[in-house]
Amino acid sequence: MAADQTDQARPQRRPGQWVAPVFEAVLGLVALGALLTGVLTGLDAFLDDEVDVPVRVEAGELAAVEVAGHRLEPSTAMLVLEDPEPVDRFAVAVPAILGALVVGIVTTLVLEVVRSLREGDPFTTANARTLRWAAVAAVLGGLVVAVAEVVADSVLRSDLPDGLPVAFSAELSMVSLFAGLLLAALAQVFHGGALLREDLEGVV
Amino acid sequence: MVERDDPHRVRCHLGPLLEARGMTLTELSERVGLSTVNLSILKNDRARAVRFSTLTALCDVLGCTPGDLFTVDG
Repeated sequence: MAADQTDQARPQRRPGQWVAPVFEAVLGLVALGALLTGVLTGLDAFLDDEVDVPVRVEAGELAAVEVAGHRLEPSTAMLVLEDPEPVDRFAVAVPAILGALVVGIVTTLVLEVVRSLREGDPFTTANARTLRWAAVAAVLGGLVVAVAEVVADSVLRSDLPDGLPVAFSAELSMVSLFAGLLLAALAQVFHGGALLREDLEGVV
Repeated sequence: MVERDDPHRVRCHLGPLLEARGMTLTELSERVGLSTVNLSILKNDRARAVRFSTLTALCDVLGCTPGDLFTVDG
């Protein structure tokens, strides 16, 4: 006698059974890594006698190295601040801490969605909403970090003596923008999935 | 009767058919291959749609026709 095709066709092992724990572990590590990086950079900036700041160098100001027809032109350098003022320490710490916060928030939100894979039903309006918030956090967070970097750059360079060829070093992270766009697209996919799921509810 | 924006007048007579055959929902579930949850949804008129495969399996096991299982209120 015929059996229900859907019940038989349903795979024995759900995708979330092995995919979800792997994603959760990776996302958890990323969130932890971001948090640690932010905390360590912040601590470094406030506790060390010397604070290192990666900076861009004005073109042509540092000597190039040429060997056998190949030329190496330095465009970045490490600015070492010896016994920096508190305001300089803040300027170094704040963008790093904000960046870590943004990564932590976005990763936590995505982790929440991945966890729902364990229940085998990720296509819900709640997950779509969470992904939308993650997208907003990524884009806005990226903008906030960029603004913090511009301010920090301005603060640091204003304290530098004349003659140090440090160029404007702040930039808007394209990674953050791209991540935000990707998350927004995913949110739409999940929203569509939730609607499809709703259509199938009550079908036996 | 299904809630939301999908009103219909289809009535499922699974309950009386089971009673007449002295069969339980669990037994039917095992023989048809459909979960008791889904069968309960069907029995209590909460289903929104029925797959043909489900309908075939139910008619085979209960020895009835679709017209015995479902009627439309006038």
